[in-house]
Amino acid sequence: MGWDKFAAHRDRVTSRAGGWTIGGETTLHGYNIHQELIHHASWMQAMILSVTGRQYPEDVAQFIEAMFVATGYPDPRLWCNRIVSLAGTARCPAAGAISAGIASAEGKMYGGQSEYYAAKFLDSAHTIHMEQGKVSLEQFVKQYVQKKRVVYGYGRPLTKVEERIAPMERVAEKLGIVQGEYLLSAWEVEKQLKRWRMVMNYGGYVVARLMDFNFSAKEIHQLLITIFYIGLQPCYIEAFENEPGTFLPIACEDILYEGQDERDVPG
Amino acid sequence: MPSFFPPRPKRESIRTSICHENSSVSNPFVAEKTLWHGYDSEKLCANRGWTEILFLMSTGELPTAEQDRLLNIIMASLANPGPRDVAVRAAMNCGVGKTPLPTILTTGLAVRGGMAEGAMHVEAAMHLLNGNLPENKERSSSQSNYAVQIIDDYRIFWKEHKDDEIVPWPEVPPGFGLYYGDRDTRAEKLLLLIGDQGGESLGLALDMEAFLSEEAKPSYLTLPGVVAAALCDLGFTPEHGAGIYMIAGSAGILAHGIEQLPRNWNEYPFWADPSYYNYEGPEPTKKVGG
Repeated sequence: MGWDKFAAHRDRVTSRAGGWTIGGETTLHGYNIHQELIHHASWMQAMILSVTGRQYPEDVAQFIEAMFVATGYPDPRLWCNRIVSLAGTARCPAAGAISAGIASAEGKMYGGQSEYYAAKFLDSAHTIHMEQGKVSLEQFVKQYVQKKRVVYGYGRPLTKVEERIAPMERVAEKLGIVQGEYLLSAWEVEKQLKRWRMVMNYGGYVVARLMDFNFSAKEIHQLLITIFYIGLQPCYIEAFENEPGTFLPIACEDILYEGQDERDVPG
Repeated sequence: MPSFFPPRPKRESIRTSICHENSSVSNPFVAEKTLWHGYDSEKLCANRGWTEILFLMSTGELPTAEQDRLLNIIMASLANPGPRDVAVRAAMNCGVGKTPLPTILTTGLAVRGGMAEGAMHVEAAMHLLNGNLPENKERSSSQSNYAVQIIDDYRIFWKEHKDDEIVPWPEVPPGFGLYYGDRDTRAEKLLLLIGDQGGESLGLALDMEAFLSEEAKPSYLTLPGVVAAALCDLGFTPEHGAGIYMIAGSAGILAHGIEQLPRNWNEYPFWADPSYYNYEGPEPTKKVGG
């Protein structure tokens, strides 16, 4: 019967990640949440565990935590922040509003999808760099730019300066986290891309660092879903507390209409 | 239109070809008259129905009577995915949990968006039927084996690119497959409703089905596949088609979600008995730093 496999799952929840014995123990990837994790793991360590199933040392988790703090800009002009501000000014409930902001950041331009693509690109570039050397990497990058025009992890809207990498490098230095092979390849790619005036952007840097911590492209994408979270909250709260409708109201004349002239509705 | 403010740079303006609002003479934020794709919105609302205006929004033109009839059939057939559907169940979960009302609908719609049976699947199927999976592949719809060629090209594309996107492409060409292990009878019923109102895309989809159904592991047109073909024939882009698939299901998502609102948590299954839960992970004895 074609439906056998569905019947086998009817009234049966299966998990390798963990669960809850009702009124009793809870587990996450082999760790007892109440007896072990809350006593010995930071929030970021637990979050990384929830995404990867792997436990990371405190210093790495602290560094990854800094990645999240470094890009939590509470500026409502930024794309995902603007969405929560709009939700706030419309007095939407908080969770739906913040969810919308997080979901909106899974974009190709600046968010979740671009980091996935950046990881895929860097994986290929790094393999060529390691196995065939700089000359082959240069050819690869050149052909990539000519074909795709966009290199995820490099270039930035609005500015050619990336202000987040230098402070993150200071955090790394303080924590004793060295530059790994993926980051070195990423810098090498940046050298090739300078002729097209593309600098490594924060997404490229974060992706390279996470790949050096053995994260896959899928894990990077999953982990970074909430990377803008810190910036979202104040944008929503401020807009919510202000007079409804006063966040960036747009006048009729502010819209540039490029469509059909007025026409009669056919009878 | 009266002007109240100094002009702003074009690059800092929102541009649209869909809606034009003329402000009132006394308030720059209040629209006196609104055009949708050139039509006075008030006159449209007085003379046209919801599906006609939906068609207008996405395509820029009003549908013919035949197109509107086909769109109505599609929308009506998708109106309630039913209480077993993932999107409806998500909304029902929200309802029984007393989630804020707007979140009930948006949660259901979010779950209706997926690549398995959801809006992303419809979008992918429409790209396939339009000959754009992969893009820039030279083929002609006039060639005799066009349907087979599209399938073969997709399979090569899948092998090389299945993990290129954050949600993988389906192994079976999108729009085709099985429904709970069997031929999708929902698709067959919708095909009957559509009758001879389909166009080239539906014809192509049926040609592809004829080929796929003869393979060792047969697959058939699914409900999203028939919807995708009909929406292609109506002239929707894959992106609009995906959205229309979501909107169409929103009636049932909303109704089922709200139906649960007054109920207690124990009137909706939790599967509380331990026999329902099967843990296959490691023993919870790991130590942090260990």
